[in-house]
Amino acid sequence: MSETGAPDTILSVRALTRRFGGLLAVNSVDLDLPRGQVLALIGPNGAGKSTFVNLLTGVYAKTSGSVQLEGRELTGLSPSAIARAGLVRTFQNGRLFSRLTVIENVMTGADGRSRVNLFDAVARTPRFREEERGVREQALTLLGELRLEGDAERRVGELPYGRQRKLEIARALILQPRILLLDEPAAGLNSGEVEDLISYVSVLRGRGLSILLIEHNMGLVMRLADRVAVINFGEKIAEGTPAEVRNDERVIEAYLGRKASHAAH
Amino acid sequence: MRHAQLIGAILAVVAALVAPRLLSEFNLRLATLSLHTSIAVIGLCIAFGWTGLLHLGQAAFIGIGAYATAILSTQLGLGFWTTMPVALVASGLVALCIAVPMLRLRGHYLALAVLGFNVTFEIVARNWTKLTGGFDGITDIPPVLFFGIEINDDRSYYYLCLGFVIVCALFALALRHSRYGRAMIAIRDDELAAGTSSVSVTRMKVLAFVLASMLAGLSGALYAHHATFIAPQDFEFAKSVTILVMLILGGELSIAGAILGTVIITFLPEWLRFLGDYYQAVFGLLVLVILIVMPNGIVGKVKQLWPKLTGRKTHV
Repeated sequence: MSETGAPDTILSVRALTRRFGGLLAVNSVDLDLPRGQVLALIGPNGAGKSTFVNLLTGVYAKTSGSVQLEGRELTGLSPSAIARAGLVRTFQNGRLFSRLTVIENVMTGADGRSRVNLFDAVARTPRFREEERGVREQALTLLGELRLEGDAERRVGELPYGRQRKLEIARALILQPRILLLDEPAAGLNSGEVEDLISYVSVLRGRGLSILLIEHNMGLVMRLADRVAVINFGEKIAEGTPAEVRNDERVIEAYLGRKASHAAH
Repeated sequence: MRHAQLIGAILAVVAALVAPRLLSEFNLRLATLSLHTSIAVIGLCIAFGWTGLLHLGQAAFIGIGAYATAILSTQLGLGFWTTMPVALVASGLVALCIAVPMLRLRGHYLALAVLGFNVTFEIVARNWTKLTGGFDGITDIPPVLFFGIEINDDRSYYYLCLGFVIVCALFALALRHSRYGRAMIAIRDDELAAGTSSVSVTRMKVLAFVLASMLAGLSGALYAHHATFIAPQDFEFAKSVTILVMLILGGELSIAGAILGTVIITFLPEWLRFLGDYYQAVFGLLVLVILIVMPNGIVGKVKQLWPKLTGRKTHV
């Protein structure tokens, strides 16, 4: 297990593979997420990014390979067990609970660390009330950080799209994850909202959270990422600092096609 | 809206308290019937309205509760306060046995399994004559003793059922405003996102299904001592469908809606009695129209219209 990554690696992925019939959607990908850093995973449409995210978070079962969070194997666990283990995600198409209020959406994210049982909840025991108050306060703090506190009691459907995306981040953070996986967080946002997102992710990084960023928006990636990994046709084709990756022949080819010149940068 | 809900609940309880003085003997029986039926509908609100489990077998679990208390009280002479908990445990255990294997599968397997269970239950109740009395059912179910007093008149039984409905409604309300209610509603809204948000989806579904079935069992125990006679056809599959209609009519998310829908569907046959043979057709048409006009049920419609009715802006 010692060769699964450098000591400052919080998440290490080894030879992760997923086959759909004849298609190798993810083919033997290795990836290390350094603790406290932002690692961006980029790639053209259909490169296998979404499948990769779904493998990490237990939505799909792997064909082979391993994913370890501080030495603990995550493959084979249910999505909720992976979230409780410390890897929490958002979704690229924003999946919220439409019949709950904004603050209830955030509070639902804390379910995995709840200590109250059915009796506590129904009898409204002190233990229940204390936990409920604590979770509500944390939810309000997170909503405040994302400037959503005024929307706490509204229904999700009443929120504009940009705020719904922020709400998803709040729901992921309330579990106090060790790794936050953001799946195309900038998709559909306007430029002002993207600036907000960049500054908030920087704040989270400053607090020591390790972040895996799946993104299309190259501007965002270049400004936020400590390291960038590129996948295409299910395989990792490059990895390095943003500057290194930007100049990598294979990356330019993957994005711009075979005859591209260096005009890309 | 919060205040309005509280005032509405208080008014409803007051109306329920004075109702027996205003109702004819026959309508009082219907009112009592709608009270104990509403406990099963509250159960379905948890399983289906919140969690999205298409539990098409509430009638069978009402049957388990009813037969449990009927058999124990007629054959062993046990009192209601002993047989009722047994009815609860029996329906809960049967539900657990169905839910654990079924809820591991995705899709509509649970609905099919529970539908099949409901049909099987009728067949068993008809044919296990020694235990259930077969087609003849079980007669002379003794009245409930309440602190030594026999509850054998309709008005007292009505109040007993009202007490149970209030307790069950408060139970469901407490559940709704806790991690359990949030998680269950989250599962129906987006099961995948509920899972990745750390909700134990399967466990929560099993819990919702078992609680729903136990409430049906309680409803059945109250039914048996009210009717004093039970037979297999009281628990046929069609009744499970009626219970679903009650919930959807009232508003599938809402406990108040569950009770309201039950009262309306229970009384509707009487209100439409003048139609004679056309009753069934008109009833079906009426339900269809209501569902088209109010897809979120009566309570959903009221919530939607509330800002217009009061002329105020509200966040709810």
